[in-house]
Amino acid sequence: MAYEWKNNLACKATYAILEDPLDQIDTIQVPQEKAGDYKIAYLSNYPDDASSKIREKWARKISAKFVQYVLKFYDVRKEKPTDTISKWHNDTWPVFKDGDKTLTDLAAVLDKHCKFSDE
Amino acid sequence: MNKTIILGSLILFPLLTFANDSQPDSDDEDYALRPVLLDSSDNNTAVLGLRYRAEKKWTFLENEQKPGPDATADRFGSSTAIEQMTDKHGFAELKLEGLWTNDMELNPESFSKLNLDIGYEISIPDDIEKEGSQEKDFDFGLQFALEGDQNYDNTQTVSALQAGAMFGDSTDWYIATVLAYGEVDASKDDARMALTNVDTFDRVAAEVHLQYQLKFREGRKYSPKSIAFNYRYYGEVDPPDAIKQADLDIFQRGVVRLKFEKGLYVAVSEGKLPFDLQSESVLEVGLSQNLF
Repeated sequence: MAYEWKNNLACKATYAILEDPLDQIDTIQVPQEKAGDYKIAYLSNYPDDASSKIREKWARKISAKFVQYVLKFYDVRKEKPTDTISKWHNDTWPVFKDGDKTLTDLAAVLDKHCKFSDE
Repeated sequence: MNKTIILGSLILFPLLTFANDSQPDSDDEDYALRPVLLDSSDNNTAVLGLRYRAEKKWTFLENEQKPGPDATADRFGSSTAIEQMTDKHGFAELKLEGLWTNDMELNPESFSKLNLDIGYEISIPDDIEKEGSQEKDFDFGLQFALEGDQNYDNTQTVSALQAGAMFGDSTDWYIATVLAYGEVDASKDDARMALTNVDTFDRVAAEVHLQYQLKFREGRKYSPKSIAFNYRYYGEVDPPDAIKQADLDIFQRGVVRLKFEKGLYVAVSEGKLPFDLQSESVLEVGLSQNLF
């Protein structure tokens, strides 16, 4: 079943980190409850006109920051013992590369790899 | 069949076989089909076009990053997060891209491309805990391409060495570039062959992308979020006089895009790409919305 944008910590963390510190969403224009359909291409620094090669470079970089900020600001545990930061990052950057993916897709990857301690 | 396509296939087949047999590797695919409205300075009518892109990437020679000493069955352990997200891998990437309009004569960007890149990439993320830490990304390799006009009526093949890099901050400002140098076989480009019998030549190609986040009037509905500049250059090395006089030796195009909230944008482009016969200014207003 497709992942749904809801009021859980994976969705809240996705939204909160993209808003601040990554500064890619305007919270006044895009409230959290309506952000599930928000496309990656709408993020401030998504390189729309660039070639695939450059979009991938950008995606790897912002994905690494996203993962680091989740680890810094949230108390997360592995969803599975075999999970690693590397696997989580390698599932996250392709979402950032594809402008048609949404914040729901990003939250789904986060939820697939992480359990939040107060959930 | 053209020698570039044969050479590309010969290199790609063993690489893909290796990618399928070795672990850990990954496949990545992506496609897009978007409507765009183009207002060219050379035509008094706006043209509705479809911008398309399809790509698939295979990676190989990837080392699985080991978790840090603080990792447990339950915890990730962040002491080696940067090492774990540092990517070093070989890749093969197949891409198809272009802009299609109902009437090719009205297409201000009649440049389509089927591309195979094979190379090696090193990607080192920025450490958010270290002041002055920099994101770095480099790649180098070979490119084999079939380039043509909108309908591939006129084509040329390209075999080139290429390298790419990115510097800056992915969430503030950054600059990325791709450079290529190689041989072009333009024997199936009628416009060129009508002017000269020199059907192969060396070419320098470059792409530079600069993006800067705008932080004024935040919260306003129509405030721009970022400004981006994308520049592409294709220059023939030592062109024949007939090609120079026909202005077919250098193709270059710049795009400036102002991005607003929720996918709205205004993009202005100036110049021409290979197979465009005249330089044009194009205003593109659109919505970043895929059709499928």
